[in-house]
Amino acid sequence: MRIALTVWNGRIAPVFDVAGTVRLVEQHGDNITEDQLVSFSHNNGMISRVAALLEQRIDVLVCGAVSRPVHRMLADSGIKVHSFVSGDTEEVLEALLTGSLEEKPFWMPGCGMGRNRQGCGRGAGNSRRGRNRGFRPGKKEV
Amino acid sequence: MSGRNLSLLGLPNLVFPDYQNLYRSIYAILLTGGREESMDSTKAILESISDGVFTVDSNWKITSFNRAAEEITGISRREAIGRECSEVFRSSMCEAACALRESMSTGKQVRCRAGYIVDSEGVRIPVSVSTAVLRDENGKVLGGAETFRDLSEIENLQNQLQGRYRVGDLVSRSSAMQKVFTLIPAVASSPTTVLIQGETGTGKEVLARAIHSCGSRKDEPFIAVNCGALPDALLESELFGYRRGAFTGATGNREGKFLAAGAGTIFLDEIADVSSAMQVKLLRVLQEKIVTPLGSNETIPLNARIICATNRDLASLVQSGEFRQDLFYRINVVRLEIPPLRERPEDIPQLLDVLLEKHSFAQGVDVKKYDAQILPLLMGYSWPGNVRELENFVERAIVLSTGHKISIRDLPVEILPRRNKSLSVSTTTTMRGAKADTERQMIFAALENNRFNRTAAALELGIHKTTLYRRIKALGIPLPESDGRS
Repeated sequence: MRIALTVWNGRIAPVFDVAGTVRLVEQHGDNITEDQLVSFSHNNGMISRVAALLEQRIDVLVCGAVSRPVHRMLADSGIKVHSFVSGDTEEVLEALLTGSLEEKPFWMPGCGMGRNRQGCGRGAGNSRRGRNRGFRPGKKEV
Repeated sequence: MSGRNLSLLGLPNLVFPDYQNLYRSIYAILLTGGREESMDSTKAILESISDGVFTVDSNWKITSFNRAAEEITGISRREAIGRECSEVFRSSMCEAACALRESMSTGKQVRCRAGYIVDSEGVRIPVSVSTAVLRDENGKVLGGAETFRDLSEIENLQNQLQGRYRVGDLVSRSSAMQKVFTLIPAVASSPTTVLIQGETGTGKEVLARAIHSCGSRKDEPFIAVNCGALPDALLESELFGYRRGAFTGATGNREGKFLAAGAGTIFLDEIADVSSAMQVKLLRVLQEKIVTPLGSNETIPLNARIICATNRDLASLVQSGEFRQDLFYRINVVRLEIPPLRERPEDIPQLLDVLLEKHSFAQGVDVKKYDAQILPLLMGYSWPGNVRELENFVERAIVLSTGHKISIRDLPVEILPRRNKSLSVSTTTTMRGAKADTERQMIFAALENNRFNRTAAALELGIHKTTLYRRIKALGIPLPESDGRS
């Protein structure tokens, strides 16, 4: 399995669309057979980013926030995307390999409500900005 | 701690009536986390403004987050406070052009830096940010303050003014097409292979041309090839070219379309219809980026960008073994789907305007308007031939129209309401039956033209209204509950 994690300052980069560095990891069984950092140019468009991941034959991408068009493009390309993930890169990688990445410590803020229903990379459905958002000031939080 | 004399350096101008109160609010909230009761009034001021405001400590952790910040980001204060600001704010500037970092390193304020944030639903929200440093009395940096403004409304207005709803010859207001429009600039600036999927007549080639004309290749050739229209051997010589003697009749060298496209774009339409053998050849071109003309050993590098299109579902063709999986992955790097016209009827008024303008100019006539009553019929029709069918309808209607606008009488029978369609279908083979059918159609058309006002319809038909009543009854013509008299 080839894994890409967008990284910045030792943590998962906040926004995939403009991420500058990707950590590429190849896992065979219990062993990590490849671990390297690859740079994206900040000037590269989002299409080039997706194309670069496809060139690297990535199976799984772990990243922070990602805009919907890019998410769709990644998903259409057959890459499994774990988006809106935050945290220390090593801890995130370990969580991915042990199957605990979906746990709360790795959620980005704002992904706490309805995470499995919509938004935060879980399939946004038809909701549009300004409607049906996870948090509304003035409402009591659950 | 609240009694310390602090100085705030260079907080940017905000659209706010009392800056001193705002500054005080930020000091207080930074230092106390907004817990002290004495700060209630100043907190209220911060809460009332429409700009998002947050502060960070020297470790980039959020220390305060006002109500507007919650509204714009969709993140609650409780979730935001204590988290890394980049993971809360998630802006396009965080990594490479963080305004707050710049303020904290230079001590100077940054004003109105534009970028976008990505909210929890993956929506990009355009924002303008301004930042300042928060220091204590000794000049020690305590953290920073950032204000940000949601520019979505302004951007929408700008887009409308700049004709966002039109890219090249593509016109659409539908949200599905807006998603495609959003991608066009990014797709255009990249050399990546693009796959366009959509039903026949949706405008796949128009989209390909829009991508071509929005990018750096716009001054280079755009060459379209319909792969489904040519037999294998001909398609191969068309695409790859040939050298003299390559086959019987090849009396000279000919450059193929791949090379003729130069550094431009080659558009391969109906890619799903190429044979298995041709799929292998195309795969090689896409993989190696080289072209070998027929009858030659020479390999020539391919500079053109390839855009493929099909009206079939390539993924299911791959599953059924009709299309090569490796070629599919090569061309499916970026996929754009054009929804059929029946799924975006809201586009029909604008398309009508554009097509009427285009064809009335081309035909040298002045038919640029249409009766409002035809719009619901056009919007309710399924348009199996999509925009191409709509364009054909407009062209035909302009030719047939006798006035300066298209009216209900110019509509083809398949667009007219169902009751009219049933009237038009002749169910008889006798002369008497055919005559009744024709009479029925004429009477119904006259009634519709006159909004079912029977006196006006009789006048149009040149018969007395009593005769009309009698014929309506005899022919069993259905009438609406409300008519031109009501």
